[in-house]
Amino acid sequence: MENLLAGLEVMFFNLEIVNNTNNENPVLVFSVACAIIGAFAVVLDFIVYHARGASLLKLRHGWMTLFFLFGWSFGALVVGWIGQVVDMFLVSISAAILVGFSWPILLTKWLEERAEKEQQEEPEQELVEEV
Amino acid sequence: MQFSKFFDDYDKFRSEADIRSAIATSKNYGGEDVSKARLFKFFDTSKQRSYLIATVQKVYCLVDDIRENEPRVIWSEDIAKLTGIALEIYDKTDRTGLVDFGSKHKNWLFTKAMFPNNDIASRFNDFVSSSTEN
Repeated sequence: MENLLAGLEVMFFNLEIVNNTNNENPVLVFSVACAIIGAFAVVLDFIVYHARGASLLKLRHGWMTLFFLFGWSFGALVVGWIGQVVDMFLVSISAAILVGFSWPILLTKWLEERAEKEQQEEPEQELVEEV
Repeated sequence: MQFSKFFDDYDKFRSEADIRSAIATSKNYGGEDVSKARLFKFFDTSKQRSYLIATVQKVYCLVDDIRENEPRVIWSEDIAKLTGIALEIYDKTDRTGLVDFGSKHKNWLFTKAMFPNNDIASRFNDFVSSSTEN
């Protein structure tokens, strides 16, 4: 836990790269950092939704915001971990921001495609003249 | 799970008060008090909702389509003619069924998930009879 907090401090406040020389668990630090940034993305979108009346991520906020908050944080954590497994990212704040923000966008795109497909398949009442 | 329900398009539907008020646009509107009208929502997708709206005299069938400027009344019927009728119900898709509201108003889509025990007929009869009592 101390390692994790120390690594997050180095990333978030010293804006330095975490690696094996200054932390024992850089992969864990990066995954958690991505999750934190993912949560920020949803919270910021929630604020924008209430301030401007429209969601930049095109989400329907309300009780579903909690689902997005946890779901997208978890998604960012997993994507961050995979990114480390395939050696795609440095353990830096900029990489964590990229994963944290782009992960929700990727999920949104996926949901939009599913919703569009669903809408195309939806039956509709016929809007005829009143009888 | 309906993915379309994640998106804010869903908030473009009219409120229940707007739906009640919309029956005044019907060519068969008899000047009833719309504020006390009862709603029976039976179809709900990402683009359309369908309602029956009962006043003391009539039942109006209305479709709220978010692509249209206003909700549209499709038919209306004296409430007495719908009291006690047996609804005919058919399957259409996994999520949608078809219902006949009497012999004149056939093949109306309904959302199965809104009637988990396939109890649309009993819920409709409760709706009509409770509206008659008011």
